[in-house]
Amino acid sequence: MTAVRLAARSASRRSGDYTAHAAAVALNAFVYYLFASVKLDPVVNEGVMTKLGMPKAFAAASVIVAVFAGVFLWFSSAYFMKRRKREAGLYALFGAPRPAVAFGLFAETAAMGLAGAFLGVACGVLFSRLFLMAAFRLVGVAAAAGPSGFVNLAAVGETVAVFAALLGIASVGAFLVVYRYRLSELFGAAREAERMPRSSPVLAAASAALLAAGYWIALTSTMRTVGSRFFLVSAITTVATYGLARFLAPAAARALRADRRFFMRSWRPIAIGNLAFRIGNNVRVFFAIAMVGTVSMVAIGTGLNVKYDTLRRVESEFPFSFAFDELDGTELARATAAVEADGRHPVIASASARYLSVEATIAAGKGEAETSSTVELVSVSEYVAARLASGSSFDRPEPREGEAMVVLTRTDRLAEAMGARVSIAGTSGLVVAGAVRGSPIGGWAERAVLLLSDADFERAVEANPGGLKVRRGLKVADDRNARELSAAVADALPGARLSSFEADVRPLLRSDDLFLFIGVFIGVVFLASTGSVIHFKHVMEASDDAARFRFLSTIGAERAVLEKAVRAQAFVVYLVPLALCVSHSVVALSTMGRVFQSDFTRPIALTVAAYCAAYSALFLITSRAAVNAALGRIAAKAEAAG
Amino acid sequence: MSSALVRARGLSKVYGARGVKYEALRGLDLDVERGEFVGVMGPSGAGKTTLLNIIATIDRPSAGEILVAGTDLFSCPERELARFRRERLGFVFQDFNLLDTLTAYENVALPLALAGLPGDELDAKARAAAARLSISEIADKFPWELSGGQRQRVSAARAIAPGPALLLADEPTGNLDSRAAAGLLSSFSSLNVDEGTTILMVTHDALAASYCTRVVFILDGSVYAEVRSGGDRRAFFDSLMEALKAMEGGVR
Ligand SMILES: Nc1ncnc2c1ncn2[C@@H]1O[C@H](COP(=O)(O)OP(=O)(O)OP(=O)(O)O)[C@@H](O)[C@H]1O
Ligand SMILES: [Mg+2]
Repeated sequence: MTAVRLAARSASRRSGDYTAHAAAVALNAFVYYLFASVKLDPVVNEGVMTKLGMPKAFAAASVIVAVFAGVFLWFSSAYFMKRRKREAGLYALFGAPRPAVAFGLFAETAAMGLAGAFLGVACGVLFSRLFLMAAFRLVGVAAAAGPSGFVNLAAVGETVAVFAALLGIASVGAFLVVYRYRLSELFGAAREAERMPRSSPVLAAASAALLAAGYWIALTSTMRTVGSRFFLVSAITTVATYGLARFLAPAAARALRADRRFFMRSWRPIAIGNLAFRIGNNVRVFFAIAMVGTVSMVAIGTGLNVKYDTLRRVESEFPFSFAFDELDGTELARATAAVEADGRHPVIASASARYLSVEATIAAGKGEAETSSTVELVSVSEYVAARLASGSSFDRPEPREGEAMVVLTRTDRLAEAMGARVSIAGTSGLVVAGAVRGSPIGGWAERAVLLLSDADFERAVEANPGGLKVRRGLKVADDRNARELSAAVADALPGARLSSFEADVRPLLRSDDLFLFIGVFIGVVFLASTGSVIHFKHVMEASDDAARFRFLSTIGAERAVLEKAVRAQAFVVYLVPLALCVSHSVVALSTMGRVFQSDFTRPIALTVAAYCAAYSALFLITSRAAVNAALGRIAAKAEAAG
Repeated sequence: MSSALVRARGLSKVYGARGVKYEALRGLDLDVERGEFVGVMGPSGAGKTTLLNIIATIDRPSAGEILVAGTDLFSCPERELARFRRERLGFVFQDFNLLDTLTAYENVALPLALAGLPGDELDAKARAAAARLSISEIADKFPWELSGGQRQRVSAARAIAPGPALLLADEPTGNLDSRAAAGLLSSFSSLNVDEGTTILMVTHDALAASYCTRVVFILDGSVYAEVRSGGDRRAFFDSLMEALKAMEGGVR
């Protein structure tokens, strides 16, 4: 029998396995092509989008996709090859020369992989236009200037090259499988049974302790240390996760087994027995999925937070639609004229505040060196008036004489500012007594702002008359859609350090959206690929178990009990990685929240909820399919009997 | 109504839905009374396993009637059928059918767990069955770590653990040496005598069959002959050998 015929025959018999393998390759190639086509698009590589860092963002994303594609291909072909070992041994036993069998498997893996890759690229070509348009919309490029050409040959070339390399490695692995088998593996002994990893409670406890240490290191990091700790924490978490999966899962299975009262009850011996039977394989799946899940949850959570953060900043630091300095006193009239000329955005509110720019000497604490910097002072009554006029929420500040309050921007730390002594000419030394959120007039031109009691403020003005200027805020209706008006106002107020939503916030929001888009896309893709790996693995194993379940029903196991056993297995296979990646991501995102002084609660809750919902849906789909695969014939029989 | 625990009338089984059909049972009649220990002998392919599978409700007859304890199990709802299999029936399979995923002890205790027995009772019954078939030392081994004979004894222990009213055994001594076979057969015998368990046992071995109270010979899917024990095993064995010779003559 020739290698090719051998391959064809076994491929047709194992068509389920190979469809799954090819589908996994196709999915990865599809995603890679999408990212490559954005990265290599000529339009993307010029103008606005380059400035926004779009090619770089997609290049980084495509590297991540390639790495995970490699990991998945490796796992996927190793898994399928393991199922083929017996067959390969059988051919060898019947006298097929080993190189022929090995080449057959090599050819088969490569052929199915290539078919998958081509399918993936083909789908990619069909969808890339849509994908590009979506990306372009996000960064505000008109569709007319949109993606050039239908097929991006450079992207096709790159995708094919990357996947040929990945598939080559995976196929060589498949080739080696045949050289490594021993005939004894074929018979009796470790037939289907995985070599059961030894369970070690000590190593399991060590892994748990390591993970706790990793979490602790992460959670205690500060802005200064977070960069250097990142790789350490990532490495620790990876090792600890593997350790937990590798040692805790068998230990848990063993412990459950040891308690015979618990174990020997209806569906439990069936489900737990099956899970433990394949524990080696399950361990690898738990580990891979937990890590992939963590990466995508952190990506989505971060993307969400960056966006929330910008919106929160806008809320507190951008109370007015336009903020500008008063130079000759006609600015307000000119701006109002522009607004009236436009006609679509009537004025809602207007306010002004005097800002006093001064040199301040700040001593953070006892014995600490004094630093000197420029700060802007605003009197408390003007602050309150401006915040009221803008209609924004605010904490009512009450600095007494001799006290100052910090207006917090995103990264200011109250903890470091509290109690600091501030010396400013004209005042007799101030103590920072508190902080408020929300700028008086706002805009990105604003510096560090201190609120003073009215009396202290007037004294400071007298001592530093040159630093005084008036800043005005103008609020118009529907300012999020006032692109043309913003341009008109900018033309009307040259040199007035104008801040507007359109000019200052819009670009930020755009890159936030792009980041979020990539994060969500990677998250969804990883979810889909991990989901499909768990699904196919589980359903294939369930169909391997069909004979076992048929036998169980002959000794009187009711269908309901068997269904419970099948569902329980699927539940564990989804729950364990989900629990691990939720726990990792919550720690990672909380750390980021702490370090970047921003409230991650909402992104964390949203991401966790989305993942739990997605995993629940996947669980339902998989357990249904697994029940059909494992118990299909039993149902048919019950019907026949009934 | 007769007191027969198993009553088969005109049982036939045709394998192969389309294409080549094969009639494994041809109008077989059989009665097994409560408390009997019946042996079933016959050449390979005669239909012995097929008959046992039908009695155990694992397989359906193509035609004919089969009543177990006076009821037609095939018309029972699935739950009741499962209950019957769990609580009233023990089956020692020709090819063991042990679960690779469970240890010997767990395999023995499995039907008890499925029946929802409380922990103490389950453990006591599983241990008793394991002790009866002398597999207590290998209780924590997995099937692939056991020899063929050990696996057969685990399979037998699993069948007797729930204390079934009807025990069906398909060549339970096929993989055992003569000492182990004698052990298994005398435990079957004592189950039959002490607990009143009705046993139907397929065997190729006349010595094993001599433990029975009656032996039926099956040839080409129907009962060919029947021999009853007079109480003396030695004499019974001799008459079985004679019957076998006669049957072989008949085959030729
Ligand atoms: N599932 C099946 N499909 C088709 N034919 C079958 C099937 N099972 C059994 N047979 C055929 O039915 C006949 C009876 O088989 P059965 O297994 O009952 O024999 P047996 O008496 O138990 O033989 P042995 O002593 O070898 O175990 C055989 O000729 C066999 O080939
Ligand atoms: Mg048979």
